Amino acid sequence: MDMVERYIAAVQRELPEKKRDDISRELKANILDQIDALESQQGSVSDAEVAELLKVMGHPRKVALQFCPPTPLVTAQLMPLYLHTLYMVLGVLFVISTVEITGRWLGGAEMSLLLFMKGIASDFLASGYFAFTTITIGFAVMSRSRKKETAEVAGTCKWSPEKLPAAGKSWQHISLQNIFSDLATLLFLVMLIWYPLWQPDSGTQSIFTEQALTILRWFTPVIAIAMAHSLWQLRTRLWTRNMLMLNIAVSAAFLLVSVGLLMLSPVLQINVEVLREELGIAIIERSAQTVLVAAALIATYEIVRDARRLIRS
Amino acid sequence: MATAPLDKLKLELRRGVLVLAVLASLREPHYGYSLRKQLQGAGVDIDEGTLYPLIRRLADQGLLDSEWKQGEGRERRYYQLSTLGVELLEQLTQEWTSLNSAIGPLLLRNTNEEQH
Repeated sequence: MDMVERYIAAVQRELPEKKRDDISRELKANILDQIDALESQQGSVSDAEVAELLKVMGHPRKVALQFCPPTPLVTAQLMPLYLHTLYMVLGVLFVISTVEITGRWLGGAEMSLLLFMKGIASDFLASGYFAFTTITIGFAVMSRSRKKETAEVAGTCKWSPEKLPAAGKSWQHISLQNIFSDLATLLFLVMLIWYPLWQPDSGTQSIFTEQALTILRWFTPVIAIAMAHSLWQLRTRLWTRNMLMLNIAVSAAFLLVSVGLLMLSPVLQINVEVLREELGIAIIERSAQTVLVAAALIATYEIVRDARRLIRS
Repeated sequence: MATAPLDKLKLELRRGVLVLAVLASLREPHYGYSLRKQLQGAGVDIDEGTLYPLIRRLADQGLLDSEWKQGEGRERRYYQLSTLGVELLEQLTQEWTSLNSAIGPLLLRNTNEEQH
């Protein structure tokens, strides 16, 4: 009997307080009934047989979970809305972190490329933790209050089949991740080009040579169009023919500027006094050229990809 | 080879049917163990880990009434269909009969086609 008492106590510990006494009382009655049945079959029951019976019933935690299954923090009905909100907010925070750290870097804070990346990552994680916790708690509260109200999936009450977008290829869907990484890159580029104008009092000089900076400043309207396009993508989330054509034009402009800058040498205006000894000017120039080659290759890839999509659509 | 998917499908298939079997058995009052024995006797094998929480859930939903009673020197919780449970069992029985009469011939037809 002591073994049964210990088993019941172990199950009790895993149960919520308000149901603890009731469930354990009933569980005990059921176990004793099974032992009685064994006794009436065999005459007596050994400790080993009671232990076997309890083993068959299962681990105390498993039994407790069968009686009181855990409630998910966010209900299945709210899960799609929860994930969408989470991705949107984290995407915006990533863009803000990129802008903030780029501002600090351009404002004179000494940091290598690695430190710059680490800065974006830690700034994003710091605000991301807070956002994740807040959103999750908010949806957990909503889940509790909605539990008895409706079984309908949130955000699906007002829709009509006529307003659904046309069925298209799988590539037509634009992921939030792509949109936010594009936005962060474009904002980074804008800050890189225009930072000295934003902070005229700090005396900060542009990192680009005069010729490169002139080209990039003329290129800014294209970046603005690309940013507006990304924001529009947030609204539609589907590639259309017009959007593909605009993207080809933007990618072509990026390709032209990358090739144009590659032909200029040097592209960067490097302050030799500030420069750390181990980083030679040649290495930095070569890195800049590598970045430009990569940008040109990505732009070429996007032109080919979008042209093929345009032809097939 | 196909044991895992089969077990999963069997579990899904049995889940709803077990509710019906339990409700039908609780037209008469039963405590947990006696209910399990009655179901086993009728050919419905159900383990304790499934049956006892299921009865409590049905009671929480208002389909069963429960009462602690002393019997054979020990207390036991007896369950029986509530008024709501009786109504629901009637509707579920109709649903079951209608499904059974639709699916039965469908399964038989497929078996016959395989044999030919």
